[in-house]
Amino acid sequence: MVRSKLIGKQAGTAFLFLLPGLLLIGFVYLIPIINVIGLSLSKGVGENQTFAGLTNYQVILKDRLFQSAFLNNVKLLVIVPILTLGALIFASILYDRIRGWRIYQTVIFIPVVLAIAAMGITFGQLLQFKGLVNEFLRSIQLGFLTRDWLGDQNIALWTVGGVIIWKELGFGTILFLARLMSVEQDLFDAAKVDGASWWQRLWNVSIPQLVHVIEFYAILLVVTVFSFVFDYILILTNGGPNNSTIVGEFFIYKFGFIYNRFNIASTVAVLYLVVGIILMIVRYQIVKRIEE
Amino acid sequence: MSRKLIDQSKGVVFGVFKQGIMLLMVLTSLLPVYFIIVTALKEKTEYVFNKWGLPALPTLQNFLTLLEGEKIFRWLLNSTLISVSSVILCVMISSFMAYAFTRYTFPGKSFLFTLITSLLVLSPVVLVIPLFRTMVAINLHNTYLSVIIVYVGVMIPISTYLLTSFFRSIPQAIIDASIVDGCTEFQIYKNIMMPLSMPAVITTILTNWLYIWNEILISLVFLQNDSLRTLMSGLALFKGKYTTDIPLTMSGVAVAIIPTLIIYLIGQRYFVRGLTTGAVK
Repeated sequence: MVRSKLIGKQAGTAFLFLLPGLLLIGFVYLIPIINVIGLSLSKGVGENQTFAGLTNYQVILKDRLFQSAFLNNVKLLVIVPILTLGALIFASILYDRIRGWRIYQTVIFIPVVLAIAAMGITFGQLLQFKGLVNEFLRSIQLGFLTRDWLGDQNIALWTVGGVIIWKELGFGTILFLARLMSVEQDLFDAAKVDGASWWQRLWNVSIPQLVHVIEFYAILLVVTVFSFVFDYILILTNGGPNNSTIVGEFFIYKFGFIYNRFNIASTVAVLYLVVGIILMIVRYQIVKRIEE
Repeated sequence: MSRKLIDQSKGVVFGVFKQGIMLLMVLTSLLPVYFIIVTALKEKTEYVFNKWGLPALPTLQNFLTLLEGEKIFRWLLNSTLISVSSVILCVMISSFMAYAFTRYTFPGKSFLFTLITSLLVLSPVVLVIPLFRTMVAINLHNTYLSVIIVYVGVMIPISTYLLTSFFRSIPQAIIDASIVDGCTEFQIYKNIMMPLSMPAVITTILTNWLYIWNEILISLVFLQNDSLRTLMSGLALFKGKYTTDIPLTMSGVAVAIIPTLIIYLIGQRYFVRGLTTGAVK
């Protein structure tokens, strides 16, 4: 009796502290989610809004542009293994505390903090056909590698992937390094005494110790690919050339705010919301394992 | 040669190899930043024949042109105003939430915590159409307040997560002592929890600031009046207009990234902690 009263009183105070946050979450997440589902099941907006069942979904799932947008998200997943492996190697090198490792650590994180808008404009310049990347390639006798990096529809998406790798590598490296530094040094010393090579230590000591963090980083990258590549696409290619770099987020933006087709855009938004919720659940499972 | 000597020379080669890889990494990381800075300091005419090198005659002319001709100063002001007020509000509201999650037991607590902190996975793009329609309906579009509300809402999940994980590490004994001293709940929050959690609060401030300062989509959609734009969304549009004057464009880019670079170099450890909390225990 006393206990339940205590919990009741606690719940009351807790509620007061939670209230402002809950109101904002409701306004920014809950209501929009309900509305976006409503829009996806309708034709027209506002006063002209009429229930249309699943028609929009039938249209969108057969839509070529939507299919290629989704496929482009899937293709960009190629950055997940590349970044994971790259970050592992860089973190292991830094963990050896080679000369200057603190400076390297500072520098490698710089791309992570720089604005995508600013860096996208810069990379847009560097990667032009007459840009400096091609000029550099010619100057080191690799002229046959020159490409119109962002203007050729066969490679533009991979170029965008490259820029994402440039930006994200430092985060993974620092994440893995922070975890490695909390591992018992004895484990590495023992492996050294047993004559394990650098690669063997990476494979047999570091990776098993890092396994949860690797999972965490990988799921974060999958989330990035499906939910946070809009800025790169907007600045680097604007979805082009020939829609070859369109992704889900950009599709939603274009149909919603350029073509004013709110219902179609909302339908795609709901589909990506579903992807987001699945990723949310997977991420939760991983975080829970780290906490245990 | 003895086995030991071979091993040693192998070690030296591998050491050089590791240094080589790291130097390459430094070059690739910094090259775009170098390009921005040297180009911003060049005359348009110099850039034509000297694209890579340091400017022969460094000039601040591009920055002066920016200041008079463009709205960049206004945008810088908008960005500062919006970031500062969003960050303050978000840290306040999130620290209330974190306090509730740390101090009290109530039904559904862990479910609510998981739900709220998981929202950070969702792309703002999926929310932006209905949000925009709501803002238009309540006549808030094209106001600072519209973006501030959205930024605070979007940043609550990560901020609550960061603060809660720190609050939980504060010893219960300190709180118990302050209850004995007759502190009210709000006093415990204000005089005990927040001051003891300064590192986490700074981390949260910087994480928020970084996201908001760099954000494009939300500001692009909600602030469609040219004089209300933030620096980043202004830059995104600016890009299309001045593709021929690259030094001028790069001076705009420089204005956008220099505050971030300075803050990063000063508060490096807080940034790193903010982005790695949760993954490293």
